[in-house]
Amino acid sequence: MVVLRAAARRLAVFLGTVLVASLVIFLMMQALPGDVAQVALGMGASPEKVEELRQTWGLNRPLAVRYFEWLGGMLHFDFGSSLVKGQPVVDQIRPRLGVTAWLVGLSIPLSLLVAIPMGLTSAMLRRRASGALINALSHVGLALPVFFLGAVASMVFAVKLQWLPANGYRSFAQSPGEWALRMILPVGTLVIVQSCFLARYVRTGFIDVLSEDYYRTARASGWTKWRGLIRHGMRNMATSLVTVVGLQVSSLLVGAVLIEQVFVLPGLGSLLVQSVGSRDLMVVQAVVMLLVFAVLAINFLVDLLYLWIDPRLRRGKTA
Amino acid sequence: MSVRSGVILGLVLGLSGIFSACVPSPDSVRELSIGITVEPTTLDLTTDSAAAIPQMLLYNVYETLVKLDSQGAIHPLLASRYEVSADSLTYSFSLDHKAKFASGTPVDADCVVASIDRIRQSPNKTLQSQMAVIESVEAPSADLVVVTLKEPSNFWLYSMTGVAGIVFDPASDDLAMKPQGSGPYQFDSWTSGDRLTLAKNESYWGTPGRFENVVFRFIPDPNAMVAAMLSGDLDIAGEMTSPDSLSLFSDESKFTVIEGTTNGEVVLGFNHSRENMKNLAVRQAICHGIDRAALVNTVWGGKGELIGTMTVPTDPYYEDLSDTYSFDPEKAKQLLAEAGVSDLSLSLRIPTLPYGPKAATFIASQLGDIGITVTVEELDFPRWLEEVYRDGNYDMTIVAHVEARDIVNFANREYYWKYDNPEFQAQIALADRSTPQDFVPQMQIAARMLADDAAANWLFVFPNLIVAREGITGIGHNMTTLSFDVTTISSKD
Repeated sequence: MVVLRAAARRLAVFLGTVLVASLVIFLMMQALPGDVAQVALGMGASPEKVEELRQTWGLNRPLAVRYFEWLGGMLHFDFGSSLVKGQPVVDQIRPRLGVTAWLVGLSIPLSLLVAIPMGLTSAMLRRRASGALINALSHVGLALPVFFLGAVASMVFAVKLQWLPANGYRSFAQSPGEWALRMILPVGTLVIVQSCFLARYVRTGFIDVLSEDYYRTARASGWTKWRGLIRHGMRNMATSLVTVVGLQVSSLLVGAVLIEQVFVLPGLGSLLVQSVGSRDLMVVQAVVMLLVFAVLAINFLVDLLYLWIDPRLRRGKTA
Repeated sequence: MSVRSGVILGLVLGLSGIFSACVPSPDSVRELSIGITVEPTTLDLTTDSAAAIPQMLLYNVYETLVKLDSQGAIHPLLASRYEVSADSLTYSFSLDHKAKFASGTPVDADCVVASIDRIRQSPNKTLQSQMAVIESVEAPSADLVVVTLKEPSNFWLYSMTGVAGIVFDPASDDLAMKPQGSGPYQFDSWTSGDRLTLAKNESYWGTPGRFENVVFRFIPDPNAMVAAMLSGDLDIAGEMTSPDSLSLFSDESKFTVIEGTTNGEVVLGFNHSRENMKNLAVRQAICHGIDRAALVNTVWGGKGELIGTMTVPTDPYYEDLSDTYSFDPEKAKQLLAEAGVSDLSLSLRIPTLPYGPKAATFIASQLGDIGITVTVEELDFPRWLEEVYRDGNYDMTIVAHVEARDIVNFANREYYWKYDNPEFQAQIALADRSTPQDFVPQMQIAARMLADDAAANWLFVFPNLIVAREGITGIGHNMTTLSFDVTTISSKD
């Protein structure tokens, strides 16, 4: 019962935040200098034609009307139509979302696969040279900007060795082989940076466990170091790791634009940049809304995961 | 080696082994892939003025009655020949009777009339004004189009080689997403953010296209363009916006580097409605105060010719006037002193395009040396269009004007420079009306007027920088139109 009530309260906060976010996003779009009709007509535009186009696109109607129209549409997944292309926004977002989802969906699990053993080893061997080396390397990886690492990777593996294509994208449906080839470098780059970042948290988490009473007790009862850590340490460390991974998924979704730029991938980030450039506000606000929704949804999920991981939260007081 | 990099390397090695069999080598498929920097937001070139649309579609998908070659000469295309009446008012175009659209519909006089009408009604003011001189368009027979002008115009036929002259398939109902024309290639697909693919028009009425597919890939990042070209992923890097990296392509057994010219004048524009900028001495001082040769070195790797007025080397009336105001800071200071101008402070509001910010910093520093305080402000392009272009809220700005023969913009006092010189306006009108023989000398007078009046400071001509892999031939040296014309390109393989 407590669990359900806690979950319900979190859901309410989640939905409320989404609503507030939608209003903020909508108003921000209106405040943006630059006009979609002006950009479309460009340097050959006459003021009358710009006005005419604004009229056609319904940009001169009252703010409130446009906001509620947009909000109402979103309830049944209708984000309106792109002003410039006249195409439903959903049709523009769908293929882009696929690319970004692949990037995030592949790089986060792979990063965890690398980061957990890496952090664990580095925690256990922290007083030895090899542990220090792993730790130092993760610092280096953390310091490398993702666009720099990406550019270097493409120079080495595409230009010098010619093993992989330098950039570009093909969808999985069109050609699975090509798709895989073109995903290796961007995903690899993300995995390096992400795993270095996550490994730091894993390491700290395990080091904390090492000084806990329950761990000492486990050791005293004859368990080996590793068994103690994996049986008792994992779950304790998981709470903080889940928080960080949640934050990382959010920042990857939003920050994928950098990696998309370097590897010329048609993801959400590049759609956002492009639409801001043409002031196609319907697309911009839909993408931003989607990202905000995703970030909030991830936080919500993380909250629920806490309840699942930590039995203490399920009884009595919730965090 | 750390555990991490070992894992990654292993992964990369393993996967590349598995998939290397799938990499299509560029030689085995009859596909031409071209990297370009800007993706348009729509393909409708009658409403949207983005140069990227005609870059991909003009001459490749869409054809015009007459066409301009890379040397600037006019050739017949859909019209097998044309005749001009003695009073230069009537143009009779005889259509090539073989000509048909990719859909199979023949190109007849009615389609041409409908297309010209479509352009005349375009919301694009540039297109409108190019066609404003037309009195009437008629189709006396199925293969004859007669255009009557209100007054003789040398510019008009020239405009007809560009977007204004496109003949649209009457069946086209969606210019924005599905362009249909009569060219050797037809529109196949457009993956937003990635590529636009053209497929060979199997029933083309003229010399057929040489490739099964032509792919334009959108690569905005200059480093990504270089990497894609070096790794063999592209056949042609169609626009090199990082001139410094051209040295990476010096291996002639692998690459051909083309350095030609374009129609793009990079203009330091003055707002003539501002008191300070109305002063000729101030404008002259600014021109004398900027070392343009050094600027080109700093901003564009030394590629790009110097000019002194709104003309480019491929214009028939081009003259080298780049020495009109040579770099002379002392003279600049003297001009300002004589005019009694001191403590001059000007805004330089520029769009954040590849050349803008660097050029602006350079100019601000050099004008600082002659005692002019320049405040640089960067605006993203939509904001620039609104505040600078539409509202005229600026003293100076920098933009490349890529359209052909855009010197006429200086005759439009409403244009964002607000340059109002009745003498120049009369001269342009005179040149336009004059006989074809007189056109060139009359235009030269006009061009010199602009130069002497320091109506702007013309920084340099945007170079046409292209890299092609070995075996690709036929790429136009100079970009005389907005089209990236693939109809002349072939591959040895």
